[in-house]
Amino acid sequence: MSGDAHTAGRPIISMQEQQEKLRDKEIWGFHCDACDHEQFAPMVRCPKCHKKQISSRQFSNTGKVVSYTIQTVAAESFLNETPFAYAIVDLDDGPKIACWIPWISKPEELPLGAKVQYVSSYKPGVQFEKV
Amino acid sequence: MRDVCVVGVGITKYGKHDLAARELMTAAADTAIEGAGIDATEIDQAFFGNAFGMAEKQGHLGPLIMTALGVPEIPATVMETACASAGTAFHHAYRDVAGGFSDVVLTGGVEKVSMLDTLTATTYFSYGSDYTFEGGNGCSFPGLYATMARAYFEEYGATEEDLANVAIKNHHNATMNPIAHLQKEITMEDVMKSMKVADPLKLYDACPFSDGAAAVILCTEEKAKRLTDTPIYVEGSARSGSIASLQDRDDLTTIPGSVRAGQAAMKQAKVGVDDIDFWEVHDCFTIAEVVASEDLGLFGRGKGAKAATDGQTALGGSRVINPSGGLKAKGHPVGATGAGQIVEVVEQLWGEAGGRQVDGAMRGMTHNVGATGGTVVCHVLGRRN
Repeated sequence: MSGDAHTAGRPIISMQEQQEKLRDKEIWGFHCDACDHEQFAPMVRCPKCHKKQISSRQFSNTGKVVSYTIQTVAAESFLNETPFAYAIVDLDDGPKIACWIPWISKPEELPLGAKVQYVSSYKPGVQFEKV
Repeated sequence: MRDVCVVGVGITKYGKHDLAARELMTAAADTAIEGAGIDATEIDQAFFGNAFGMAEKQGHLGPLIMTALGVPEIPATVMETACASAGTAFHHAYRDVAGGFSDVVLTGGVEKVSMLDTLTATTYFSYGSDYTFEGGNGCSFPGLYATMARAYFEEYGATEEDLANVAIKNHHNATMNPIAHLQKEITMEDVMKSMKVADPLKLYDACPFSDGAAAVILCTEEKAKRLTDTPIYVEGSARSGSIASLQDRDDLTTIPGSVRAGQAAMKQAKVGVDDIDFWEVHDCFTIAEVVASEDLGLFGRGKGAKAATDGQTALGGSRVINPSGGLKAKGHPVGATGAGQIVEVVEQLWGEAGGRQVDGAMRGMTHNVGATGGTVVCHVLGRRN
């Protein structure tokens, strides 16, 4: 049996649509209706429970810092942003999300658990800032 | 399944080379062929690891190597699983012989990156992450492991000094490894005063960008017994994966694929941790060695950092880790690393490791990680006499 991959097997929202939502200050991702696993990265089948009951969902724009690093050496597209934090943020209503937080140069400036929020920006990636 | 043995190995020095990737791989491969005592035309298949062909603007590397070896008719495939590319190539070479498709397979890996400036190398390496969500948010490769390190410190109370002890130990081991990239002792002060590259990780927590190649000849047990008195048996060969990017995992202080691949390799080999004499683990950063030592069951959760500080992982310790110097000091030619780990285990089991020899070593285990564990490959190798 074959299927049409233009309609079947595609994530319920595309990465491009996620980017467009981000420009509208909305964070959209994926929810597993079987086990409640949520993630921002595309999935058509849940990597936790392997079920295929996936829906899209809008997550909250606020959360707490779970872990992070301070990038003093960065790749090309972030060359002019150093130092900044690359952080994993646990959204208040939603999954953990990867993001970057400008103007962080010392660990004291970003204690674990710090409250942060999404800011829509012309810069690359998903940018958060301290609340 | 048939028993599979290693009968020949070859490795270039790790570090900066003027040779191209195909020349490095050819040198290591020819050394392995000669060491095995086979004719190159006896090879049925070749599987190589290579991650950054883009650095030389070269894809389809396999036929270039086989042509240089004088056997262009032998099919060769390059496999890419980031830093685990050569471990993956070795695993598939093993499967090819075990499954009865080939009797003799050449495997190995190569990387050539030293001509890149640091910015370009950092950028290329970030392509091995989930680039949209990790590299695309400015995270470098050290940054990913730094994020794991901070979570580990928070969870278990380990310190930057604990990690420094991993670097100091691996540098010491590398001084006894003639092919190692960084053959110099370092001190606690050296590590702690080195530049922060991705807080809390410093330059001396990180492996270097290395050029280099490693090669291995695998064959059936039957053929191996005709070639050598001391064939090295591949007793366990297993791969697993993990959710690709860190933010989607429940716990940043463990790599689930390492736990699964490690257990599967030991189960196949019918051995436990106590039956293994030493480990070559994927210490691209000091924190990675600590996490690996727990994921592979050498130490309990949260105990790996203190075990390193207490000297348990040094030569002569209860759980010897990275006698070669590891990625940290032996070096990390990305696409070659997994094969280089195998070469170290084989040399140890043959008693050819000189000053870094693990006394009486009969069985060793390798652990090769792609990115932050999206791919993990583990192997158990042993000698029977």
